[in-house]
Amino acid sequence: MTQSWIRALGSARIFFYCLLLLILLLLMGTISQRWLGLFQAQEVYFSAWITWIGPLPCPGARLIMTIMTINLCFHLLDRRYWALKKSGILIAHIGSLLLLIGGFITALSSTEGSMSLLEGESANSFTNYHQLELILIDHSNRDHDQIISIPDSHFKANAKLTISGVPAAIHIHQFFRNAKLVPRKNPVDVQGLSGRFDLVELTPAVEDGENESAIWLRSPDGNGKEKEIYVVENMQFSPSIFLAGKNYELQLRHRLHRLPFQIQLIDFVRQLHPGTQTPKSYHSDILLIDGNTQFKHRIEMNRPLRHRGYTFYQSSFIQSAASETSIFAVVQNSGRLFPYISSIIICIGLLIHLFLKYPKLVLVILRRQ
Amino acid sequence: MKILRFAITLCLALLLSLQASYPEVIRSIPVQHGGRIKPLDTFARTHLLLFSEKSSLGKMDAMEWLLEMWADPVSAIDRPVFRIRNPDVISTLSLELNPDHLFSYKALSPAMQANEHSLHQLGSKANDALEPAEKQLLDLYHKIFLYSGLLTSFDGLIRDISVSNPEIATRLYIQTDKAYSYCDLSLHANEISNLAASINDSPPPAYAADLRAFIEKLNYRLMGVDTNGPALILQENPGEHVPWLDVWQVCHRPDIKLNQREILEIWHQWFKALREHSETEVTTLTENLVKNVPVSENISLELFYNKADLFYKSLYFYGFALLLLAVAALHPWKLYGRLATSSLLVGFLLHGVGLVLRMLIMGRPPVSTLYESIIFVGWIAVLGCLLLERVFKDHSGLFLAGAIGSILHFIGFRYASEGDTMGMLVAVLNSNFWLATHVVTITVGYGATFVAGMLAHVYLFKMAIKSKPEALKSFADNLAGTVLVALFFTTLGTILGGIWADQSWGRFWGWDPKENGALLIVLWLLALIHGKIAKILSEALYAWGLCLANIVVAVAWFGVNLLNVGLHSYGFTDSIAMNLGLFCLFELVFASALWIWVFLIQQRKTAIG
Repeated sequence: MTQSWIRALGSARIFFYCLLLLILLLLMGTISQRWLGLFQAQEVYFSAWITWIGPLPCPGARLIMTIMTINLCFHLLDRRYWALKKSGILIAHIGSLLLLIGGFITALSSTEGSMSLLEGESANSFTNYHQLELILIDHSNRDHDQIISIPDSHFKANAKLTISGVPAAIHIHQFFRNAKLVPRKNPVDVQGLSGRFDLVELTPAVEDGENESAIWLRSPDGNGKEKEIYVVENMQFSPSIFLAGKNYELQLRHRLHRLPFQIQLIDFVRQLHPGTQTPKSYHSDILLIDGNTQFKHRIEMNRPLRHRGYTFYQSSFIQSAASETSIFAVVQNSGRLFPYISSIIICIGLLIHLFLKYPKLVLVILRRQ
Repeated sequence: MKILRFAITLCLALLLSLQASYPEVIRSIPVQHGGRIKPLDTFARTHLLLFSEKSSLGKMDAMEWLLEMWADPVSAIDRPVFRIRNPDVISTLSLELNPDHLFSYKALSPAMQANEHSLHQLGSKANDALEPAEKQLLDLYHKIFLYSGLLTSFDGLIRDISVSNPEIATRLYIQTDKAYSYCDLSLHANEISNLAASINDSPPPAYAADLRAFIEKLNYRLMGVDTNGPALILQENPGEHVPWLDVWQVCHRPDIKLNQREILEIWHQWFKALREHSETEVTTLTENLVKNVPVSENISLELFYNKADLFYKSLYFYGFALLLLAVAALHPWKLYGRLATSSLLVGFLLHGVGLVLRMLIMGRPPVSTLYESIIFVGWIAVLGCLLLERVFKDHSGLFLAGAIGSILHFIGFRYASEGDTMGMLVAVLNSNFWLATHVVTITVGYGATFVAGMLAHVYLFKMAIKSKPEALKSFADNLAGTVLVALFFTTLGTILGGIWADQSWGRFWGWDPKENGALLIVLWLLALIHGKIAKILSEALYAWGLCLANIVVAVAWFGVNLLNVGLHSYGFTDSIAMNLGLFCLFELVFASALWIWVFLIQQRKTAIG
């Protein structure tokens, strides 16, 4: 009984239909990238569990790949395939399973961001590419600021957030990925921006970096009424709220990740192909300051720096008349090694299978040499 | 006997390729252009290709054309060299249609000037917002600029400016009534500007009128200043990354050291000899110049590569083989088959030599641009088909080799016409290891998938003409093996691409269009294999799906570049979209027709039996 269940759940039929769906999604998603941009297309098609095609819900790539992974697991349990003749295929399948697992680990746990440094500048944090956070800054202490951070996973419409033990301290009315402040035709005399401006949602830009996100908050003002607060990315004047006897400044920014060490940019060098404006190579000479030790390193294209689980890649740069800024991509990914291991295993598997099944073909090629 | 025949065809092929013309030494003058040192021959070809879409002009080859521009500009500007095919553009510029679609600088110049303002405005619009005709107009505008810059690139060396007023001459430290060039006079730049300031003194000096005339002459010459001339002159401390200078740049460098002044003098004489058409003098002076420049062996290799035109010749041999096979189908005589094989092998060898030469000249693995991927995939596909012919022995492998080789050569020529195919790479591609592993593997994968796809067409055809079941079975086995090889290379190539991305950009997979394209091929092949295993796909349907794999490869290879988004956008063009669409449509119709034919045959069989 169990064997027939295993065979059914591990059958190639399931895999075939999953593949057809995945191919369809891949096509639609790739074409849509021209209009949605990479980040949006990924959110809609590839990282999603459900993709909506008009009014119809369709499994997203993540769901399809999960089904594939389960299907593959059951297939590996099927005793029929544990034979010498099928050993090549078996090994290739094990490699594929590892690849899928690695993919999931990366999707769920990796952090990617950027760090910009002017020559001479140093930093011990990096900014996430896409994730945002709402922060409340307490400036009351003279020596340091205290920051409460709310990650964007909480930015759901009508969510009520408890902060510093104060229930429903912040009521998120709406969150917009891309928005702008538009002056109201009929301004109302109320404290804050909401009296003079409307917060208008915009279609997300093709490049996610061009989006300016905004949160529309409501907060009890102490007199039984609720204050309307707009918090927009890159605002000039931050709004504030009063909570549990403290005054907090509100800011919306890309999520900041702290590093357990410091990086200082000593020198950035760019080499052009002579007589052209095409970059031949560029690199950054940095100082890695970790506790009491400091060591020099060079980060260049195709040669990143790896330290304590973080990897720093030379991503890009800004060159101005006065100074040079080097921009690094910073990645923390526990699933990093899976693709390397799985690719070796898959290739060994395919080669073994090729040789076992078609010894003549391989020998023809060898004889020709 | 076979070897002898082979050797003779090869020798003929090579001899045909070595046609000498014009003093060779001028072709080998090293020039720095596009970030690398190349022979003046390549510089000439690249520009002629850009203007006329061909690397020779009638009987004139590119080097002769370029030399005419410098030696005899009056005739040169009358020579039709700009190719304009769009009738809209021709009518906008009020030109007369002509069957070659070639127009001269002299014919285009007034039209360009008349529309100068609008053309300038077009330049500030975004590329997406332009109509096709507008894009071509703007493109032509830029080309005219480039041409006129080339035309006057040596004008700084024309010795025709003299000063007759002795007062001016003494103040400038030059001789009276001696002919100087702009370049000569640039060494006295400080004195000239001080003197020029004195025109505004009150009262103005006695020589003011003569001075004004002199400065006008200088300004007139300066109108030809441009940075599009060939960068022939080395700086004081030549290094790998130090840019070379063209004549105008040197004119504006009064800090030129003594040994460079000597070389400049030789260039002066060289240009004078060129204008006077004294070929022997030019040759001697060129030899003198070239020996002062550190020239590498790559220059002579590149000259040979240019002259040999190996890919064109390879195409002739592939085409000849196809012709022989067509004749063999009508008159089954064994010699035709053997000749076709020899012809294919010669074509294959020339093709391979071309690839090897490119590797030697550029010092990097064979595939690093879209153009190189085309010629490499062609070579791999021909290799695959030739190997398969050893198995099939029925000419189908030969036919496919000739067909795929020729088609990919044609596509390659289309891309080669865009300019210098040996360009320098951007920083992220500057890694020989990954170019050799990922790019080579994935292009081998493309080639293998094409071979499998073409075999699938043959398979459907054999099914339709009711071949014997044993023959079909053995064909099917070999097809399955080819599919497995294709799967191996495309999977390995895709994963290596991910690993390279991980090393370079920090993420193994970013759902980038190019990555998605490669994954699409892998998934397509996997779907076909598993569909057959699960018995969802019949033999015929499986073969049909495999035919369509050609479309998938074409889309993954060229189509994703059209989206112009993501980290991978390296190659693009407008007409590719249309050609790609036509190919996909044709392939779909052709493969479906074959499948329908097989389906009907099988229906009839079941009806009868």
